[in-house]
Amino acid sequence: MKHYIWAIMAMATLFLFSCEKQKTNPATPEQNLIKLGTSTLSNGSQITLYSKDSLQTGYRQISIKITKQNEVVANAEVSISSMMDMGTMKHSSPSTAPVYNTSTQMYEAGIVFTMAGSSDQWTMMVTVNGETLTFGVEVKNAQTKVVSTFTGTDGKVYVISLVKMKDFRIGTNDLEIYISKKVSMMEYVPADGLSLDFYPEMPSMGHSSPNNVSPVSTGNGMYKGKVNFTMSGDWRLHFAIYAADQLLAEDASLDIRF
Amino acid sequence: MKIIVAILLLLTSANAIAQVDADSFESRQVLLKEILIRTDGSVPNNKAFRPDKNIQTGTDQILNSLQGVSIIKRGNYAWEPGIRGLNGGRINVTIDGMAIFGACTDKMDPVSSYIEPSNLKSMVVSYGTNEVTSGNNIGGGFDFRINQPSFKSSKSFSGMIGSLYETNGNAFQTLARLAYSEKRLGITVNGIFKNSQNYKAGKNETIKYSQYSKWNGGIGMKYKVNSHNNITLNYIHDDGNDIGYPALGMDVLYARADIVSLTHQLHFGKGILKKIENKIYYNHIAHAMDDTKRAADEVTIHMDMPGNSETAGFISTGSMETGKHRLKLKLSGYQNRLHAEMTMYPKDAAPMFMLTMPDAQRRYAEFNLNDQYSVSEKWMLMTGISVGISNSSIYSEEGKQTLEGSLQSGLKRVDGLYSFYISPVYQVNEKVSLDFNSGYSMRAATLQELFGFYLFNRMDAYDYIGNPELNNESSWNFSGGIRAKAAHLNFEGRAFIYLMNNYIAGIRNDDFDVMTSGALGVKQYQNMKSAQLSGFEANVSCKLLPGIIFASSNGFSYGSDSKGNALPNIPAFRSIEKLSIRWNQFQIEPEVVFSAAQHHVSKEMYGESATPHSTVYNLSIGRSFKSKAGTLSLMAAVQNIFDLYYYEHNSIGQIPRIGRSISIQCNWQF
Repeated sequence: MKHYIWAIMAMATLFLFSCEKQKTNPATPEQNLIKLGTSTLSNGSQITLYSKDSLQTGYRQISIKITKQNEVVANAEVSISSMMDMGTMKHSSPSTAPVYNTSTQMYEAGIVFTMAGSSDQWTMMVTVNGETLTFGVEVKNAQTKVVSTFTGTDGKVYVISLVKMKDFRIGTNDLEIYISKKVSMMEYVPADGLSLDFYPEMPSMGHSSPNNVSPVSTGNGMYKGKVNFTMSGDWRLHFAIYAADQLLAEDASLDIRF
Repeated sequence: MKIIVAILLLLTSANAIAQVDADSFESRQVLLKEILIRTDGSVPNNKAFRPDKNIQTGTDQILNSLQGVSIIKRGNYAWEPGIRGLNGGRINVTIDGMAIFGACTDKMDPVSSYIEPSNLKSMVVSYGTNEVTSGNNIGGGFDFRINQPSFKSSKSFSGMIGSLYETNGNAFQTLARLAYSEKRLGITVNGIFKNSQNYKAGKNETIKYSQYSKWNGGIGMKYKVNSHNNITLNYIHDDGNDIGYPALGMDVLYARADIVSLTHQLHFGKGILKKIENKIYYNHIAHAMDDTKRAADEVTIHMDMPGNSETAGFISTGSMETGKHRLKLKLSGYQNRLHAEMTMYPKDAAPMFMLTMPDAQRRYAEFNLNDQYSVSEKWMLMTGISVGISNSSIYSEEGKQTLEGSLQSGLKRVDGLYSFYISPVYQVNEKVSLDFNSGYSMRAATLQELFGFYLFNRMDAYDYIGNPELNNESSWNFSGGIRAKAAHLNFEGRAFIYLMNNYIAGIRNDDFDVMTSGALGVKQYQNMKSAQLSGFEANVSCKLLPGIIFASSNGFSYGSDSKGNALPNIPAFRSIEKLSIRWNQFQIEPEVVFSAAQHHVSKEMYGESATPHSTVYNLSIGRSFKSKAGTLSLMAAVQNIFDLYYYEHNSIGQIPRIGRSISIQCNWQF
């Protein structure tokens, strides 16, 4: 019996020490991100682009790290835009302005990739203090339709995209969407002040769920509401979109799967 | 006068009688007929049934033959018993007093489906509020009493084996029951295996998905520590497989129960305190619905629906006798946890998962005090109170999230419950006695009624959603009965009325979308102002000639809610007429079962349709051969002789009942 106790104690001690070893390096924000590319400015500053996952269609958060001689730069003027080169034509896609996040020490921006494309086709342009660097990126198709482009009854083209695409659960979830309006092939602006009628549906069952909250405008093209999923699976999010009292789109829809 | 005293004694010691009978089951002749004993004394509204007389008959079929017991059928297996049309959470179903709850969200597995007559000493049917079923119900209940091992002064070994074959459904079953007794040790072992293919209704119509297969085994061990103390261990395993439910959209892959209890009994020879009994118990039910055996065009979307139910609890009772009083104190408590989920597999889409019983839990504790007071030689008074506390909640984060998304209410409930009754019995003379019962009882809403999440009810084709804000349902129950005994005639009649408040029923709520394809809508449980149930049971038996007994047993219930809707699952008038003829060594029993048409239904509120009347004729012939080695009994029976095509009011989906069927059985008792 005593032998067993000693053996167990020895194993427990081993286990404790082996655990401790793994904790030596504290995690840095970049460790959980995927590096999209890195480039150097004329003044020697290094610009590195990160994203949470490999890029897919939809609203994607891009993190920009700027370092100069291994020191993080936090006071640069940064802007970002995207370009799709389809051979016969070129167009941009919606994006949100980069904002410095003190906890991650990176600039964070959103880019809405409206279609899939190779790194020859999709280019991200990052402008730091007036100097522009380009990064070719590959964008794959998302599993579901998390971005949708529609022409409103006012003749304008709108892009609606889901901001949060992961970690949905059964029950009530925050719902955040980003809506932008196309000004030209090269320019999109956030579409604020729209009003939305929202309901979710399971296409294979045809049922909805109770207690959803239609997203309301919170500025900068963002809209926040609540969605209640009674079960997991495929859900279609239906939005009827109004500008003042005018119906812009009867049914703009996004799809998710969890 | 002596006879009156004897009757009163008989009345007061009904439990003791049952004990004696059960402990010596192995030594008695099998009469091959059902025998009903009323445990009248302790509770005038209780019926006990000794299953060893009818050990080859299924639990649900035995209950089906009792007046005042209403049975809901979803096929040929696991019939759901109710009392006078009340079922579900309105009644208590216990095994030796132990709480146990089915795991299926579609009510496919009433507790009675996990217990076989081969496990049992008796079944006690309790009508209303009384000693057997006091707290957290409003309509009485069933207590299945496990056959306990006994002690004998010399080593003895006894038992029985038997088999039954039934032509309709090609059904076969075989069972064995063994008992070993010595001075300080008793052991019982029992097992049964039964299976059936699809049965045929009248006119030779095969009822698809009505097959079943199961086995059940039980073991009991009782050890006498000393002359005052003994310890009993009981374990039952029930294992149903491939069970069809023709009335429902799905079948059952498996339904398994493990039921275990440990009991300590302390007997006192002298003094006021006679006996203290402490029991701890645990039971677990695992249940899985299955649609893989259904034809492709019947399955709109393939799904898995497993569920389980887990209960642990204790019961402590103390029995006291002081002069004219017999007091029984009971403290009991349990925790029950229910989990059920559904995963649907649509074509070309991701699987869909949801919790249908989102990890609901109930903790319940109760204190009971019951007294039998022999006021005089003519009067006896039975009274009792119970006080209980019920705590209902959701035990998992996932379950909370599921419900919080759809229900705008708290998910924690604490309910105080109480009930009381007063039942005088008056012995008018040697031949006639009168009994009255008035009681008030209360129940907390069931976990399904509080927290069920889109549970489909085949009866009205609605999805049901729980309501954590339900008020307790309560009922005033009144009944009065007369029992008369003459030389060749026995009569017993009893009328009752239940006045229910806060009657819980599903009310259509259009805020919710249907989940089940084909459902008509969603109902949420709500309290109705009130409901009322009344009716009677009357039994007559008389000796027509020497060796010929005629018995007629009749029952009727009528219920309405406060909006005038007929209550659901209430069978119409039913009458069973039976002749018992003893001719030479044969026992011959022709029987007619008449069910009147039921037109008092509410299609709109409860989804019920009217049911036409039916008359079914049955016949059985049996004979026993006695020898030193034991008793051999043979019986042949024909059920539904004229092959009538019919269904009963509580046949869900109007699935027709079994057509003509011939069965033969053979039992050997030693």
